[in-house]
Amino acid sequence: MISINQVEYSYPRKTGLFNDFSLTVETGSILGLLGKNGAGKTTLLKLISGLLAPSKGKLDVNGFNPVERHPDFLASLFMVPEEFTLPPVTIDCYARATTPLYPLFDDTKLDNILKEFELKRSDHLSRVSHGQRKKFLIAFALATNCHILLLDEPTNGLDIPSKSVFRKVLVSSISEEQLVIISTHQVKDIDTVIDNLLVIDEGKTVYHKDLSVIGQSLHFETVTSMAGIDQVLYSERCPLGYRIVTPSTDSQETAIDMELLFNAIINKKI
Amino acid sequence: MTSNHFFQSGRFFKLLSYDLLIHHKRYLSVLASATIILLFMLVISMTSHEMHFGMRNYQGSLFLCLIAGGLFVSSSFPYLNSEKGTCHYLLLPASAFEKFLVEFVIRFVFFIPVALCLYWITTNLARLIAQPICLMQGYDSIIDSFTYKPLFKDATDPSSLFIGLGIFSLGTFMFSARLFFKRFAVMKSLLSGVTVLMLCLTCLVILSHIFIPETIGFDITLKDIPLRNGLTTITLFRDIIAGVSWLFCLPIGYFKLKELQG
Repeated sequence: MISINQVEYSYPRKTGLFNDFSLTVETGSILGLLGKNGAGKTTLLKLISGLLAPSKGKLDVNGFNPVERHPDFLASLFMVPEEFTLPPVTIDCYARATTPLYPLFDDTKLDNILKEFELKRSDHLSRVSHGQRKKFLIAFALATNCHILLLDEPTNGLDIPSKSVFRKVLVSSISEEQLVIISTHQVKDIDTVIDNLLVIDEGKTVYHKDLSVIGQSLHFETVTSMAGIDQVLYSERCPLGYRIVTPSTDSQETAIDMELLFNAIINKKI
Repeated sequence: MTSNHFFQSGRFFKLLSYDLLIHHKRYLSVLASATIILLFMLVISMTSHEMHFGMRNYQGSLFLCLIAGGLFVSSSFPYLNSEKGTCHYLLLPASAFEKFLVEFVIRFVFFIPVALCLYWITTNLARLIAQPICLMQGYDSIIDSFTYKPLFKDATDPSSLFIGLGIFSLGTFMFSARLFFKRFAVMKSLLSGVTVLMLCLTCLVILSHIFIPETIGFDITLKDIPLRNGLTTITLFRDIIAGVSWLFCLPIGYFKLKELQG
């Protein structure tokens, strides 16, 4: 569980990014973290992982204060940053060196995910593409079985088939004891895997809801004309007419158009 | 139940083996290239001495090895060269003390004995190569084999001890100064060393001007007052600096690593 209480953080020589920021996320969910550029998504992930220290407030991640970087805390958390560095060794060498540091690491799971991503243990990390390195890091992160997984733009640099594989392996690899936070701009890449949505803007939570609740309370559809449709919360022009969000009249869940929802939230229509 | 926050031997050895597995090629290539360069230099030096290549003639190469060792020490914490590497390193499941200790063990505990052995092997190898070359050149020169005996025979002598501690203190300065810089850490560590030295000299100049008004410019006067057993105020000051600097450099480095943010 992650509990953030009245946290303040600002980068040196910049105005405050987070002011009085609070958030609670329960274990056993995959949280989609969305926001515009500079909204503070990566900073939030860094605060949760203990890479940054808040100037005020309290963070609690599974009973640990992240800033202390307790070794047990670090062994229970894995972060896949948007930009990362891997040593110039083979996947096998990296795995042999790193797996002893993660007590819950599952070698078989790593092999299975590597197979899904069409990677071999003999592949040299300095001789494969950026996308392949990212796939390896995602595979490694999932195989650690860490209680907290932080994925910052995990689908950036992945080709279309790999994005599908990513969604598949993510859903099949996560257990109830784990909490995954996926920060991304590519909302369509994660709309089928997340069960919680958090939208932040200018360091503030502007939307935080369970996807089932969103599906029951909002209705998303594409219409050729808006004539005769009442209570349109938000609409966008599209080649077929309009994509609209309306309040749901019945409690039946509808498929969520994540991009439309995000735009509606950012434009303060929801 | 949580494990020890500060140090746990199992975790330390896992981190040590992590570092050796990931960086073994780097360490081996540094040692191999240093050995080849040293061998080449020694053979040239030995074959250019027509008469006698004695222990004194090894001093130059030994000094160069010390500089190379200093550069190797200041290349510690290689992940901290970039922000991406820093994040990766800080999130490795080990305490700041274990991370600091691993780098210290590799660069001081492992490297120094290995470097001393390699130096001895290289000097003897160079001797074996140089002697036939000298004979082919037509002169029967004497090349003494290198031994550490003269260096360690006065190990109980306090001045030898303080020279050793001075070298160690300098090494710990280079080791810890590296933590204050991201890019070009080796160069910046060297520059920071020079800056500290310059600041000390400036301090001496200022103090000299205050207490000895007849001082002109940088022409400072150091009053060397004899104490006892051949010890003077200057040698005492020098020995204190050499003997205790490492006690400050290592904790400063540790706390800097502990406070690092990604």
